[in-house]
Amino acid sequence: MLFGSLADLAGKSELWFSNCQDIQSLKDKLLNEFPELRNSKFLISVDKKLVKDNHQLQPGTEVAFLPPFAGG
Amino acid sequence: MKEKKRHNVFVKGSISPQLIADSIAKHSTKTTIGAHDIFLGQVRADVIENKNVLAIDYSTYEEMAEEKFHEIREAAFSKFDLTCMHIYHSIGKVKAGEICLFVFVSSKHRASAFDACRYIVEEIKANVPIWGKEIFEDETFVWKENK
Repeated sequence: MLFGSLADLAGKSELWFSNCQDIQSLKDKLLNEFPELRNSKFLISVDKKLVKDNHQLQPGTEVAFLPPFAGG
Repeated sequence: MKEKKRHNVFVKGSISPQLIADSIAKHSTKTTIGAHDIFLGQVRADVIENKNVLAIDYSTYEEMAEEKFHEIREAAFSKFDLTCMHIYHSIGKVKAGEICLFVFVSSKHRASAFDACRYIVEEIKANVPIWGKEIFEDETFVWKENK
C-alpha cells in the first residue's frame, strides 16, 4: 500500500507483488516499477507495525510505505 | 474511575467550535476533575513560494492510525494521573483558520493535565500515519511534513 505523496507519484495506492521473500525484495520491485519514488523518504510497516530492518514476508502480508507524517 | 472507552478519532472536515464546547459541557458532571487542558491545532495559511495555502486535505492509513491512537491513549493513562482524555483529528479538507486537531485531557490537578496534553500532541505528530496536502489558490499542492 502506498500513502500520501507516494500514492500520488505512483498514481495508485494498492499494489500486489508476488514472490517477495522479504522487505528488501519488495522494495526493489516497487522502486523498479516506480523509479519516481526513488528520491522519496518513507517508513515501512508490516501488518500495521513499523519495521526498521529487513523482514521476512509471508504471502498475504500487508506492507505499507509511509511518507513523513503530517498530522496535527 | 478512568475512562478508556474507544471512540472514533477521525472527524470528516474541520472540528467545529460547537463540538469543542459540547465536549467541555459534558464534563460538568465529573466533579473529581479539577483541571482540563486543551490543545487545538489550526490550519495555517502558510505562504510557500509566493502562494497562499488555502486548505489542508488530510488522509490517513486508518487501521494503523487507530492502533497508534489507542497506544498513545494507553501510554498517557499509565504515565499521567488522568481522569479522561479525548482526541479528535480531521480527515479530508480543512480550510486555513479552521481546527484540525482537538486534544482534551482532564485530571484532578493541573500538572498532569499540562504534561499529558503536550505528550499526546507530540506523540500524534511523530507517530500517527496522517498526511496533509497543502492546497494553494491555483489548486496546485505540496505535501506537508511535520518538523
